[in-house]
Amino acid sequence: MAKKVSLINMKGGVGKSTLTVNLAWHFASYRNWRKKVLVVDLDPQFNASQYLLGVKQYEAILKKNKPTVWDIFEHGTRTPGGKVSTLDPHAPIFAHRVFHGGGKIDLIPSRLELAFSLKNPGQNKERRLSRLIKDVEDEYDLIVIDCAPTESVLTTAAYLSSDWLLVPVKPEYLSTIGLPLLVNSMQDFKEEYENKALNLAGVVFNGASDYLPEEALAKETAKGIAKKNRWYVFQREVEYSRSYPKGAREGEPIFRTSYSRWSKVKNFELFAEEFAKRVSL
Amino acid sequence: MNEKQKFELLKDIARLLIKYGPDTFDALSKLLSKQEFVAQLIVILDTTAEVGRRNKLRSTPRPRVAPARSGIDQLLENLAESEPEKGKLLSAFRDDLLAKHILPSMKAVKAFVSDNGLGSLSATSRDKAIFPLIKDLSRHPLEQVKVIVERERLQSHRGDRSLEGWANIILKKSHSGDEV
Repeated sequence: MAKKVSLINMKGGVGKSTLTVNLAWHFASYRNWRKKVLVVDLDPQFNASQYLLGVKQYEAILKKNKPTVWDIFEHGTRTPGGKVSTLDPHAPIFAHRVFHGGGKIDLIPSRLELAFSLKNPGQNKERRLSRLIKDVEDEYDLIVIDCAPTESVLTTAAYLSSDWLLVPVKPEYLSTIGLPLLVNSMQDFKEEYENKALNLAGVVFNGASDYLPEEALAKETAKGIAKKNRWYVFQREVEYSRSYPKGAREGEPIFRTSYSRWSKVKNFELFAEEFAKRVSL
Repeated sequence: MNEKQKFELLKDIARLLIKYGPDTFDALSKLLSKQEFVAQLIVILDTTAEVGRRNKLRSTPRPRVAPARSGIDQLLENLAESEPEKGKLLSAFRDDLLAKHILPSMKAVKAFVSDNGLGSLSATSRDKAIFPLIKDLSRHPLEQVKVIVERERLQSHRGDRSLEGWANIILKKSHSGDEV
């Protein structure tokens, strides 16, 4: 059964999509991992889809009207005529890469229209993603969900679909404010869904340079919040590297981005290994 | 020695004079004035020249290494006769590699080898890696080669990641909101 992990923070721009895609690549293709990984892009901004697919492949999905994560939320909605359409659980899954040794990356892409689902919640929409994942989870070792930075039906859907949460935090003032919002969000969820176990894999500082006093202050604040809530803070911080945005442009993880520094590649590898231990991958 | 040769020698001596300085020249001229030293020098220079000549004769000429491309050409020609479809497929793949349409860097080549479980690559540069790569692929069954080559072609589309491309997708009404 797959380990299901949502990357979440109520603040945008903390590197959720970048971490999601790099983790997927790491465990699917790196050295001896060769795991079967499913990436679920649950953000209407569809950054993880952009990173993995590129323009042509994404355009082809739209042109062929292939189902996306939007369809998961909107299929099953009762129409005025009383009809309920169904969706084959495999239909929205796009086979992105296969690696020798059994590793693969599949993707459920997102699209802008997912924002409409936020405007029209109800009809148990929040449960539809977890139902679909339940149908396919035996086919994967790891399912990573890239969440939208909002408290919405999408957040609840992510909580219901996950066993673990990974919280990337950029060590800067505004980014740390996303943490108390996340605490509230998780508390609300636990009150509503008492039977659903939700573990926190931990808080990871992303884009850290360990240099600026402002950064050190933000880290202390975030660590304080984490300690108060008994959240694990990853020993390994993901260091800032220009190779991350470059990798997104090239459609490659940091360890395959052209001219990426060995020390940065190693840094990510060590974080990924710590992550694997935390979620018992 | 004609006048021209004398002038050339004089020019060379002038250059060396500038390079080593007049004192060095003065010291050397004193040494060369000693008959014993000159005789010793002649023996040393003769011996060195003889050893050099012998070594040159002994060393067999290095076989000319055929350039990688001609090796590939030969391989693909043979393949075109024995397995035409595979030959055609790998020939097109070779063309794409040479044009850098696919696997544009050594890093990409190494990743390709690792992803597809091909044999280890000892080449140190992308150009040198092309021949062993094609050779390795040619040993695999046709169906497997087809899958590997097609997958790489598909992946090469990831090169299109322009902001303009994304802007078109985001702003184009034909792709958005038609179901909503």
